[in-house]
Amino acid sequence: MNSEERLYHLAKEIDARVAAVEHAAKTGESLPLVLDIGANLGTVAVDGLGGLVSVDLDQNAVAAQTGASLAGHVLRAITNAESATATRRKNMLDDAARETR
Amino acid sequence: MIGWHYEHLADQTAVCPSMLIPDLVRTPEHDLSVHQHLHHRLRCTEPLTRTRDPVANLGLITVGDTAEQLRLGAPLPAGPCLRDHRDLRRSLPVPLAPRHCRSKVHAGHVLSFSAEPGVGESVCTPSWRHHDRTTPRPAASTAASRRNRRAAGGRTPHRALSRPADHRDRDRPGKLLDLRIDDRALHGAHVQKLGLSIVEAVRAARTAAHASALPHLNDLFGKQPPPSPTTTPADDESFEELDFLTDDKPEAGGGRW
Repeated sequence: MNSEERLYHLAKEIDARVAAVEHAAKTGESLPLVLDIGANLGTVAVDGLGGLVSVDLDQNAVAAQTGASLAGHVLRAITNAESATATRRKNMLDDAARETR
Repeated sequence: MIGWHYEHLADQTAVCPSMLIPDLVRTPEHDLSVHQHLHHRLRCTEPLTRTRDPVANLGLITVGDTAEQLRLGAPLPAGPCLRDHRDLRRSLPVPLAPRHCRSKVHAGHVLSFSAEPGVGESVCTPSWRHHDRTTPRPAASTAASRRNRRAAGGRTPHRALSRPADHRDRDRPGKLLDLRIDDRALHGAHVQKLGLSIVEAVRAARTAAHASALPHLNDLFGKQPPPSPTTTPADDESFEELDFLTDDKPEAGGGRW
């Protein structure tokens, strides 16, 4: 393999790696994430960037809660979901970069 | 009141703790309130007051109504009451260096600075409460202070120190700190739209945080706000509106003809 061919293959490798990382970044930002709220109170859904999309509450379970306890569960679920999306994005990018090596 | 913390953006912002006051957004229809952490916010809710620490005999600046306190190892300069962070920075006897900052400072922490230029240090006294101004303040040479000083000495500033207000900051200003739901919201017809109300309240809090934080942050970093899209200026007449018949010149001596 002469030097031109080596350069060609190297450029192809770099292109593939960049494309894989870009694809992982787009996928990570577009995939929503749904997490359960504690005490079976329902679910929270966030978009791929961690923005809150919806809070679905089980009305029967909510009836047994106080406002403070429900707020605590929901807040924890929201912050967990936000951090989970950040972790997922990072893992997806790391995996994409690792696979093309 | 809720607990709160903040992340430093730059060393000069370390002395503007009034920006830590969490914003409170209420949704009047839904008995909800959301506290949004505004770590970019630079707003003084009251004129800064200056007193003297009787224990350490240091000048003391109390900032905001959730008072973090800045102790200065030199007499504070005379002058009018400090009204914003720029006044505060101008009044400092020593320039602030990044090592004066802690990556996170909680309520009751105190930043102190020695009198010699460049010998500033960060002292953490977690036992202080931000509304308790009657507690005797420990001298800066206690064992805990020395330990904290050592711990803070090797700490690098937060990554956000040099980060401009990019789009991610606009998308995610601050951190959601507290959510309160009134007991009345759990009963009756309210509960059916409670989830939607929470989403609306969180979005409203973030929008408010963004709206209030970005101009201050741009100002802090000397960054010009993006030009707003304006309508076509008046002198750019369209081709159809141009008057080719009359001989009026726009200005006598305009020099274009």
